[in-house]
Order: sequence, then C-alpha cells, then structure tokens
Amino acid sequence: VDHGKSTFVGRLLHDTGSLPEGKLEQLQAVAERRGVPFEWANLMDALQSERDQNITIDTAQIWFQTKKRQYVIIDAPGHKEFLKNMITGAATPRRRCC
Amino acid sequence: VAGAQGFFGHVPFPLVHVDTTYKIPSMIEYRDRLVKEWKLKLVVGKNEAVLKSGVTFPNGRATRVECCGTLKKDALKAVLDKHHYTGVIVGVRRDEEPTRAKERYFSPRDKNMEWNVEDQPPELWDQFKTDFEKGTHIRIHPLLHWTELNIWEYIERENIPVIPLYFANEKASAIAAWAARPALFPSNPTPERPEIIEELRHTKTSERSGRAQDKESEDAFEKLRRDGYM
Repeated sequence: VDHGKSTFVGRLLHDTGSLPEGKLEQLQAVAERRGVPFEWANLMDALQSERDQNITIDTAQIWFQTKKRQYVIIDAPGHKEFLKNMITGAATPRRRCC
Repeated sequence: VAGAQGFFGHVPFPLVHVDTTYKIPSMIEYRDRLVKEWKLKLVVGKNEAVLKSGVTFPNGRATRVECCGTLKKDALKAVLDKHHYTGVIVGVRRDEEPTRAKERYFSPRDKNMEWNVEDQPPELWDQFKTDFEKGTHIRIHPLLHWTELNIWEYIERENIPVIPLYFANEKASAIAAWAARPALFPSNPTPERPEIIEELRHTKTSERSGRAQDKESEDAFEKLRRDGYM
C-alpha cells in the first residue's frame, strides 16, 4: 500500500516513450493549476477523488507496444477498502506480477 | 458487424443513434446505408427542445460540455426511458480515455442514469453481474479491451465498410469545414486502410486528442460520464 504501483506505471510509460503527445504536459498543467506537486500516478489515477487523496480507488488498464507485441498494464488499488476493485483487476490476466 | 455476420442477417435488437444534428453528413449517409443493407431497426434520439431553443455550443450559447450534456447525454436518457430499454450495448474502449479505462463490461447506471464509479461490481474471470434493480439499466461494453489498432485490424480482416471521411482528401476538407462543430473525428492523418494500421503501430497521437471537450477542465469529461454520457 502506498509504495508506488501507479507511480511506477506512469514513469514506465514515460521512460519507454509510450505516452501520447502532450499527455505529460497536460498532467503537469493540471498539477500546476491546482497548486499541488506533479504525480506520475495521475496518468492512471484519472478520477478526481483519486487525485484529491493521492490513492488508487478503481482498477484501470493502459496499453503500450514494442516492436514485437502489445502490452497491457493493469493497475489495481492497494487499500483494503477497495479490495473488490483490486480483485477485479487481479482476475483479468492469466499471469501477473507484483 | 453484428448484422452482417453474427445473426444470419437478422439483428434482434434495434440500433439507437443519438443524433445531435451536428454530425458530418457522410456519417448519416453511412448509417442509413447500413440500416438498409443490414435491415436494422433504427431508433433515433434527439433533444428537440434544446435544438429548437438554440442553446448549443455551435450557436455560442452553451459550452462544449453543456452541449454534449444536453444533445448527447439527455437525448440518450430520453430515448432509453421512452423505449424502456434495460440494457444498451456501447462500443467504448479502455484505451480511449482514462475514465473509460476504469469501466466494467457490464456497467450499471442508476435511475438517473448516473455512474457510481467508486462502487462498481467486481468482474472476476468470466463472471459478470447481469441483473440489476428495476428502473436502472446496464451499459454493455463488449469492446472494452480492444485498442484502436485492434479495431482497424478487424475492419481490414472482415472487410467492413467505413466512412470515406477517414481517408485523406475528403477528411482534410471535412475537418476544416466542421472544425467548429461539437463532434469531431480523430485528427491523426490516415490515408489508406493498410496505412492506417501501420500508422497506428507507431503513432504517438491519441485518438481523442482532437476533442476539445476533454480539455475544458480537468474533470469535465469525468463529470459528463458520471452523469450518464457514454
């Protein structure tokens, strides 16, 4: 919990050059407008309620591709209040990590 | 697609189109052609009252989001209420937009068509909750896990007719002509079908990036979707 799962996903997409054009700038502008520090996690934590509390509430999925294949990353909440959503995310793939 | 192949030429459910009347003409022609060829039952929903009053974005009398709210969301609610539909199959995908990335395959909407995103039913493996309270409806999202690339690969494989608007020349002029309209097609340059697929393998432009409504405020689109927008 709160160890940076969503942050890792945001950073990974950025460092592999997988973010669509303008996405990073858009997230930075939002943080600036609200006077809060920029969070890599906000790439996946798109809900206002998630951004307000800096937590993941619902599971989400994001795609990126390499020359060989397409990948999907499934982010899931860690807080016990959202166990139901974590299980929904965890039940999606046949194999998983973390 | 369902009409052409899935149901032996007879689609057992109607096609609902929420018509803002600001759509590109070739899209309406395409709709009518498919309705005829695939013998679909077409149900058109329109917010006549707002269209008559002229309080729309193109008239400069409503914001984009307000306009999407009345002409799309409210018109959808009216058509669902009128026909007592309890389920509607929608083609939204997780890769389109971050709140859609949080959708379920069977996504409940309450009596006011509202989406309770913080309390969605669990979906475990292939188990889905499919019965819901009276007066509510479900959004069924069969393409939720498809990507834009998957869509074009499928179109290519099944040879599905598409609107010529997606192709170079007509598209450029159409976009110029309709740039002020509330609904606008994706803005990545897409000349020929195989080239679209090749382009999508490498593009860094996201499909909805041409849509100004998403940019209006941070949570404008989230609010619209919580209120029942597709």
